[in-house]
Amino acid sequence: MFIADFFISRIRNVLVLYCRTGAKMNDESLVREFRNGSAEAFSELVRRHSRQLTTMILRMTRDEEEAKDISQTVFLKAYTGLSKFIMASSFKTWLYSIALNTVRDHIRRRKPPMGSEAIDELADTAASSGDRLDRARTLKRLRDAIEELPHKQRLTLQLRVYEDMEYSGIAAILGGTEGAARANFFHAVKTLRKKLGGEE
Amino acid sequence: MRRISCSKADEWIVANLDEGLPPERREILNGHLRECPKCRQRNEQTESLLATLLEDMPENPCEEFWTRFETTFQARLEEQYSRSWWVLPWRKVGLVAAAAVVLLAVGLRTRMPRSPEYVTRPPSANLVIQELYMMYSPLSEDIVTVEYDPAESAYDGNLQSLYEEQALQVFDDDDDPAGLLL
Repeated sequence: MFIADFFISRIRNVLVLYCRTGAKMNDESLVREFRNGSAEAFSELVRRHSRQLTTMILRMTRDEEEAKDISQTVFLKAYTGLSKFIMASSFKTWLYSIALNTVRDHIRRRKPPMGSEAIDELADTAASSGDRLDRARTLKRLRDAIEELPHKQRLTLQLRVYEDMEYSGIAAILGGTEGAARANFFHAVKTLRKKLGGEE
Repeated sequence: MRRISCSKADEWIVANLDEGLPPERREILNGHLRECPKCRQRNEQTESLLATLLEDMPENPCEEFWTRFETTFQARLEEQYSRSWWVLPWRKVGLVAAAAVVLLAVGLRTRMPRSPEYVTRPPSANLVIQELYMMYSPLSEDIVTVEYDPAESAYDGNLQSLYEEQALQVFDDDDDPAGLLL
């Protein structure tokens, strides 16, 4: 009897979700459905956020396979952690927090910064003229400089420039205030400008 | 016009290229940039830096990447699901239920009442005993004494049939299922 009730409730959840996704359930409703046992609700959450999240991770790691693995790991962490998610922030903010922590852990473990062969790769992709080789060197210096930025400054810069994220969103994901996020962006730009332009 | 320091101008340069400044602040900044070559250079450098950052942004992956993503993710999710905390108890419940059914069946079997015959004699032994009883019991001797010889006796056919009837009364089919005596 109990087992029958369980399966009936699962079927009901799926049907309810199927009917409601047409009316665009919000993330919080999907989280609630998932907690009630609907696996389809989690699939819908993945469908909604996987592309944007993976692209963001790709912009940080610059490697498709790494980005894929990290993004999947993030969703698996979300899958197991959703039962403890207290909805103090939006699901997206929570998901991105997990993603940024996972990326940070990954970058810490990753191999050291690119060597001279990386410059050749950059130059090859952009053809072989002298100007383009200079440009490849500039890009290499820029990437190295970004890697050397303090964690929060680097993430703030990447979220702001690559993801065009509002400072309120950055503050929610990284913690702190909007003013602190603006200050991080300013200091990141100032540091990069110094390293690339030789400014004192 | 209000004047600002180079450090304040630097903040406003970044803010202007990033989010944009309110019109009056932009006016003040532009005034400062006209007068300060160093800040003008900073403005150009910042503009160039942000443009380079955007140019260096990795391209979005192709559709084939997303297909691979979904396929491998489903596999990882199924693996994760099989290890999920809410799946394991169901397996445990299944195992416990199966064990309970087995124990219940064993318990019922041992407690089931049995007939005394079943306990003392198996069916084959019962049949052998029955046959031996029929062959060697005193009753069979009594029957053996009842003899009939139509050649030397003066019994008529009626008497013969009478003996046969008596024999049948003593031995019916139930008493001699194997047909040993008749």
